[in-house]
Amino acid sequence: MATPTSSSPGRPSFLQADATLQRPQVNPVDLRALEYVDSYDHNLMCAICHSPFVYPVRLECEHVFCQRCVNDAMSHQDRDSRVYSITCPSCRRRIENRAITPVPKILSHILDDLRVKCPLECLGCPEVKARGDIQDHVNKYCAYAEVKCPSESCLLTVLRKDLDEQRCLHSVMKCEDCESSFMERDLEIHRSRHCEVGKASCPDCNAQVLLRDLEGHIECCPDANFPCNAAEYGCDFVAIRETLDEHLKMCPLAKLVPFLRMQNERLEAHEAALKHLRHKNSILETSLSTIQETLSPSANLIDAPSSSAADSDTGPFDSTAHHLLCLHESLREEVNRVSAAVSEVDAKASMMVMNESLRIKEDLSHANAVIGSMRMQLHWLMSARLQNQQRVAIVRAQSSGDGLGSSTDAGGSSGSVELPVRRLSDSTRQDTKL
Amino acid sequence: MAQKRIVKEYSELQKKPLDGMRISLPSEADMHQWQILIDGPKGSPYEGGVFTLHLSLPTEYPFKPPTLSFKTKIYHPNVTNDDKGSMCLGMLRADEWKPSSKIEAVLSFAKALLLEPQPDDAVEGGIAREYKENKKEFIKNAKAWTKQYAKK
Repeated sequence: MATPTSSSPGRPSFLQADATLQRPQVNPVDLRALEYVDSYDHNLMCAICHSPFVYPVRLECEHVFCQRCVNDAMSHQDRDSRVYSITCPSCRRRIENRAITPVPKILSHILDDLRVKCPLECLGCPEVKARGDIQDHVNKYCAYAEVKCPSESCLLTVLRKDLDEQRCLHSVMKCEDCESSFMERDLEIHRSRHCEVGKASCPDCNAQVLLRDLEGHIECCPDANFPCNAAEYGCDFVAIRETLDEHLKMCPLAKLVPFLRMQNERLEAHEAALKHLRHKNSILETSLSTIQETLSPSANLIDAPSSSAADSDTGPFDSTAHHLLCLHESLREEVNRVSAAVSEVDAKASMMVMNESLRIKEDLSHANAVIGSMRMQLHWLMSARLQNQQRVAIVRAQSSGDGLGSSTDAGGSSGSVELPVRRLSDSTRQDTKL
Repeated sequence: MAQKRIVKEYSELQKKPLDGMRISLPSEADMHQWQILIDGPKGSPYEGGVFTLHLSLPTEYPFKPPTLSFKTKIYHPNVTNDDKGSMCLGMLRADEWKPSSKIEAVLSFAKALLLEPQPDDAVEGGIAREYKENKKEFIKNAKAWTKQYAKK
């Protein structure tokens, strides 16, 4: 990094450069801004945003819109009206139930399969992907997506394709032609697309053109030489555009080009199929040889005592293999049977446990009820006894009061006695008052 | 979102223009103001004239309806006779507008209205009455205005 004093004059210019190299927003990818490669069914278009549905939802009236478009429509209607109901943006039917239902999965799949260009196409990414995969592509694979600079001390980002350089591309450099400063990573783009000074000469007509216009110039340069269409099939004629047109009318190879191309394609398809088959074959061969390896020692063991001469023969091997396979099969059946039996026993046991526990639970509740009734009885008995005791106490007190004949004591004692009496039932209280 | 939809509708209309209509943007920077040139439809008193219309799309488009106005004076029961030239289109009223309606539909509707005025839905009562009661006079006046204001 340069010192602050020397970098300050250069700084605005590479900030400017950043503004000119405008990057589309890719995190998350705006699915509405994508360029769709093929034309799609107009029924897949949201009536509100006029793009293929993005996260479609269905309203009560069965019209389908993007989730976000419905939300926008609802918020706009909420702002306008005081009533708590909205109308469908397509049929104006009142929608009482704001709950939106998801759309059938098949619609989402059709939408996810639409082919789109990578949103970083403007930076050079040529990929065309299914819409459902485009976020993945940008996040993980796109060579033109921004990732952290490999240099640990640098906090800026680089394009994924520049990661291979394994160094920081953020040092400031000067464009050779226009003298403005750029970070190294932006220099190439600046020179090939934006620089207003840098010139190069056309390889054909020797005219000086701006570097950024070179590509366009070569395409329409009148002096540019083009090879014959059949160059790849052996015609080495090279000429400027006009003569080339005449040549193409005469050249027998050029006429064969479509046919040859088709043949080539077929050949390639066959080769690919052949390669695939070869691969499959090799896998099968290796698995066969492993089977042979596992089988042949035992075959030797079995065969050795009976016939040592038939070692190299395939006859005994075949029978042993067959025997082993049969054995294996019967063992497998046995295991299956045992496992079935085990599971049956398991089910029976768990059933039994459940039945038992149910019974015990019933017993328990029964016992609980009995205990409860006993407790009630005990309570009743206790209270009856208490009452009895109290009544006896009162009677005794009254009799003692009569004996003494002092009014103060009687008042005090009757006051002290009345208190517990109140707790008893009404009839007993009446009794005491009398 | 509004911006994207407007750009899309604009490019669609440029690719497949409506019959007798030319659409342009007075200012490249503002996609919300469109200028439309409509040829007076054949068989109507406006035949031979070219009318300039102004379509203004609100920022809330497509949730709010656009407004359509005649910049060229026109003798028509559904167009106000002032310097605003506001046009009364049923589908452009706030309570009848649907976000799924397209500008293409608005423009074809406007064109249909030139062919057949709707005096029951008029903004210029006098012209509407004349259209209903004295059609000959109406046609004469409309032709005269077309000649005077909407010359090619």
